[in-house]
Amino acid sequence: MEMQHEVFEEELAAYVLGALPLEEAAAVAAHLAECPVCQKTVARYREAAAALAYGVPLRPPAPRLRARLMARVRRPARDGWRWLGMGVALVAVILGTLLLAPLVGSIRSPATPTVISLQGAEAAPEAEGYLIVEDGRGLLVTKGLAVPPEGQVYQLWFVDAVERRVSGGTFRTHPRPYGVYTVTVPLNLGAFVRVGVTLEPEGGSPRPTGPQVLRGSLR
Amino acid sequence: MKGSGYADLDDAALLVLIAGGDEQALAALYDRHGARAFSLALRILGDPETAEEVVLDVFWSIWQHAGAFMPERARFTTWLYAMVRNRAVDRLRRRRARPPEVPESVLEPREAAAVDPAVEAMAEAEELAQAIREAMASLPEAQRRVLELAYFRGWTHREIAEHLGEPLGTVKSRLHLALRKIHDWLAERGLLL
Repeated sequence: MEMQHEVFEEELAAYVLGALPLEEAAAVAAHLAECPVCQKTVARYREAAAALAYGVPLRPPAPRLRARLMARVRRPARDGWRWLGMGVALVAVILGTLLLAPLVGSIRSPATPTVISLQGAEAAPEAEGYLIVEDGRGLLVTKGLAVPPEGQVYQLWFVDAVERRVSGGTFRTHPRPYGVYTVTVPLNLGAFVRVGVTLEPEGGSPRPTGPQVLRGSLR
Repeated sequence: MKGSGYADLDDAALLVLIAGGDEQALAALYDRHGARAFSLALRILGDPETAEEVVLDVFWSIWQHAGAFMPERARFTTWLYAMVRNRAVDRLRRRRARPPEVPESVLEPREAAAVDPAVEAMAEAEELAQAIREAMASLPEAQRRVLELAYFRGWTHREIAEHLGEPLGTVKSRLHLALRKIHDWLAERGLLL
């Protein structure tokens, strides 16, 4: 564990600032998920980073900004889809692939994790992600996935050769550079050929109903 | 001038009201933090119109997701300024086609005439503003530069390394030391949790 801190300690600042490429961020995220010490460090760095806002010269916005905000709030709002579209377009980073497997493998425990690279689908072409499976546990790391509209969540699916689907659980993204979620992985993972993430109503769906945002191959 | 009852409430209490659909609570939260959120977005983006869009997006997002904020895990301003910074940097990255100019320092002279007294009068914000300027000034130039490129420009450590002609490890190390020093500087003065 101490060794791992040394490996990751210098990565944490870059992680908090979104300055790591996704494959390195995923390795940090995988360590963070199990390391309360590094979680505390990240929380401290987040505070320090936010405090940098106070060093900026104060320039009040035009009064119209407040008026625009309040007008928007008063409007009966169901333009969540448009908002999602804007959010989905946020991050434009195309990723070199397959760097994570050796990276994670060298740093983490002897049990080699399976690393599945996920690409943005129609509804979120610029999103990307990794699904890391180790000892039957799953960790999903995403980048560029917008916060879903009110009342909706993302849902992970495992798809077998005859298009049967099993849910890996639901999650909501947060406005951060990377999203990290624990997901449920089927015990018989070998029976599945693809994974996908779709947008679904709160609580999830028995089968996919919404647009796909991420997809990847298990073969 | 502004709803006096709301002015007495802390951010977490305002968020509870916002989650319940209280527009005046959102207005109060904006009055308290909008100017600094805008200033941060403007510092990153350089143009007021896009900075306004970012602030509008962020406060709209707060209106929609106020219930998602967990006060036991972070203070609201950490959440808020991370959102502003990340969204501003995302927009910056999207217009990356043109080569970024060399950023000016964060330690610009303050524009006293433009300061909103209602915001600046908040003692804690003023103390923190002063402390962060001192903390930045206390960093070795090389560390400050790396931190500014990462935070205000949204550059990855690789881009910074290429730009400065330094090894990647050196950039990572400087970023780490800089953020840790900023944290420790503020924590020693009781300005962080």
